[in-house]
Parts: sequence; structure tokens; C-alpha cells
Amino acid sequence: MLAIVERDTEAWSSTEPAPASPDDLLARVATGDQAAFSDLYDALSGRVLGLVTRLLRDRAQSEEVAQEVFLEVWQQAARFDRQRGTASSWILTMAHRRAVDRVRASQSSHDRDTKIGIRDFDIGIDDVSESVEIRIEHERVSRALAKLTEFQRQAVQLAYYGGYSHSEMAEHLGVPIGTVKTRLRDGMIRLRDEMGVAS
Amino acid sequence: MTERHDDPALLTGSHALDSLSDDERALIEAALADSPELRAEADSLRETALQLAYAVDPIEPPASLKASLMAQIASTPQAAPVAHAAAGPATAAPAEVPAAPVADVSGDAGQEARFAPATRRTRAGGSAAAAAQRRWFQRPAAVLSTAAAVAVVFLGVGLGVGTAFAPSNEPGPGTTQASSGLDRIYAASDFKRSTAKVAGGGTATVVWSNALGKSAVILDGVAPAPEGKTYELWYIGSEGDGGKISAAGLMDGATDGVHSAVLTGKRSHGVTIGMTVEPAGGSKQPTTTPIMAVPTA
Repeated sequence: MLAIVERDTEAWSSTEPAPASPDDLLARVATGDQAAFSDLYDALSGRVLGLVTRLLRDRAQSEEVAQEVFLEVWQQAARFDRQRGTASSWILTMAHRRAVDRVRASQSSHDRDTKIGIRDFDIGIDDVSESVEIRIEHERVSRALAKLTEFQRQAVQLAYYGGYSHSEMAEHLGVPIGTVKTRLRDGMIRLRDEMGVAS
Repeated sequence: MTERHDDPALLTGSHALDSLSDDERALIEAALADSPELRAEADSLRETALQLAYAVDPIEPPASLKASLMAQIASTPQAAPVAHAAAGPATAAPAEVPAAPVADVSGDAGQEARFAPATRRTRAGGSAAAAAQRRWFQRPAAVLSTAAAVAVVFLGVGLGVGTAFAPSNEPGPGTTQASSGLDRIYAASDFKRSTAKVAGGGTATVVWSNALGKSAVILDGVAPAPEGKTYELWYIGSEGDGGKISAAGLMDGATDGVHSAVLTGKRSHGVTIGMTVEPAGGSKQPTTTPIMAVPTA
């Protein structure tokens, strides 16, 4: 990595040694603080690119989307409402949404029909992640996903990691759209309860 | 199986997973506004979906991505806080952030416009737009439309490039400037980039689009040109092309940070982009050895 953080910028006078949280950084970004943006990028760009790449696969396109996401973070920072969630969840939600938009726009349905059968949409629990934090997160999510029915798990993974729409999933799975919706909702509720997310 | 699948209450899972169509999203967002229980369920499932995001392995982006972004934000206006947008960025913003022409972006017109260039959505659920204002995650805001607005001011913002060649030193915002902006290059379908080391320290990232015939250089960590000197950019033709070299603008005002410039003139296929140190004001042909050269095949 280039040491871009080191460059001198105005509005850069008071730097605390303690690493600021993404929430604090985002609040500073909202005032036009480019150094804070740089730190926020360093903190979250790996996660954003990882998530987007999971959906898009294509690295160049994923980088473009990640760039769009961070540009949007810069532009919309002042509109982020802290009451509504954390900065990282805001940014990752944005990243996922954009990746889904892109995946749907960039692939012909024929393309997707062939790919849906061969692509693997699980969360990659066989990957050996270097980060303990990610490994633990993997564990947690995999364990919770294992509690879903196979149909629910399949639907949730196709939707979240594949970016598939209801109609695409209905066609691929050979079930009515209503069934897809039910599987997604029941699956997500089960997942929520397994993971102990406050409802 | 009941056939109540147009019941918005059944859409909370899909909503959290971003698998709704625009019409369906409009349906549920209208319902969420009316029902605190449904809202609570939707929020908790959204939070759950985020756990799926956190379980994905991060991928470290290339340094050039950050370099491009830092250059981009330096001249990208920020949206005002949502409620009573008094137009323009927060007062604490650095002085060089231009007064933001983003008024339309905060409106629904801007939101819908964003789908047009990149994703070709057929509709954007206009009826529910108002209901959707309340939650950030329902409104992935308007990067593309904003980018379009930004492109207009982009070159007006002290990139200091091409002034030796452009007829006017301070071109007002206009479509000519917009059409040569960095944003246009990023938005191009055949966008490409390549990064090289600069002699003396730092890196140069060249981004280009053959379709647009445009390219830009982003310097990162390159020291300012010595006193009385300037950086000058060049198109260097391939040998098969006769190796013609033509001036592509100056890169003034480089600091040690990130700095970008869109090259002037039209870029031809397979040309190499180079940069030399020249006397202030620039030269007609390079007088020194390039400190950076990036082929753009």
C-alpha cells in the first residue's frame, strides 16, 4: 500500500494517536475532511471490495463498484444518520445494493441461467482466512446457516451472495415466486434468531 | 402455500437481501412507513443480512484505486445534510470544495436518473419515492447523477492542467469541460488503468478510455516540480506510428499528495503517456528524459 495517509493536507492539524472509529471518521468526512476519508477507506475498503467481488466475481468491475461506493460515501456522508446504524453497516449495505444493481445490469439472463448452476454461493468456509476476526465471523454465520432448511439456505445464499432476483430464483429452483419469498423470509428470520440479532 | 405473495409483509426477507424488484421495493417501503412492527422486522433482518457481509473475506484493493478516489473526492462536492438542504457543503469544508451543484441530486429526479447510465433500469418506483426517504439503506444515493453534475465543475477546480494550451485560464463550467472530465473516463464502459513508478519517488496511475479517446494521470506521492519547473504530460506515439510526441498539458501544482489531471487533446490508440520536467510554462517538445511512461495499449 502506498502511504497516502502520510500526505499533508490542510485541516489536518489535530491528529489523535488512537485510531478513530468508522463512525467518528464518517462524521469528519461529512465536514469535508479528506484525511478522515482516507482513514475510513483504509478501514473498510477491504471489506467492501471483498463483498462486491463475491457477487460480481470480475475484479475490474468490482473495483469500479467499490470506487463508486466510496465516492458515494464522500458525497452522502452528511446524510448518514447515526441513530440508524453504524458507519460500516451503512457502507456495506450500500456496497451490496450497488453490487446487486451491477450484477443484474451487466449479465444477460442467459448468462446467469448457465452460471447459476455452476457457481458456488456458499460463504466459502473452506477458505483459510488470515484474519481471526473474519474466521470467527465465518464460523458464526456458517453455524447459523446450518440451522436453516436446505431450501432456505439455498435461497438466502443465492439472493445475498449471488444477487439473484425473485423471478430468476423461481425459475432456477422451479418453484413459484411466492415460495421464494417465503423461503427468504423464513430463512432470514431463522438466521436472525440463530445469530442473536436483536429484533 | 398461500398465494398472498403480493403481501408486503412477506417481503421483509427479500428486502433485507436486496432481491426485490423496484416495484416490490416500492410496495414494501410504503408498508414499512405505516407499520412499526413490520419496520422492526425489516430492520432486524437487514441487520442479519449484514452478518452475511461480515463473513466474507476482505480483498485488499490496489493502491491505485485509493489514489484515484483521493483525486476524485478532492474535486467532488458533498451533498448537504438531508432535511432542509440549504445547498452547498458544510461550512467546515475545505475552501476548494466548490459550492455544490447538487440540488437536483437530493430530489427524486436525481435518484431516478442514477439508474439511467449504468444499470438501465426501466423504472425506479417513483410512487414510493417519498416513503423511501426515511432510511439510508433504502436510498443508495445518487452517485452517477452526482458524478454527472460534478463533471461540470471538475476541471474548474484547480487541476491546473492544460492552461498553457487552453484558450482561457479559467474556463467556466460547461459541457466541454464535463466531456473531458475524469468522471467520464471512470464511467466509460472500456475504462482501463495502469500504474507505474515515477523516477524520484511516488507513482503515476494512468486511466483511459479508448471509446472516449481520453486519458488522465493521477500522481500519488510525487514531489512538486523544482522551483521554476513544471511537469508536462506527453502522448508518445509507437514506433510504427513514427514515434510522434505531442504535448498533453501541464501538471502544475503537484504536491506530495494525490493529484490528477485529464490530458488535453485526443489520445490515439496504443499511445504511451509520459511525463517530463520542463521549464515553467511548458515546452513544445520534451527537453528532458521522461520520469514516467505508461503504455496504454
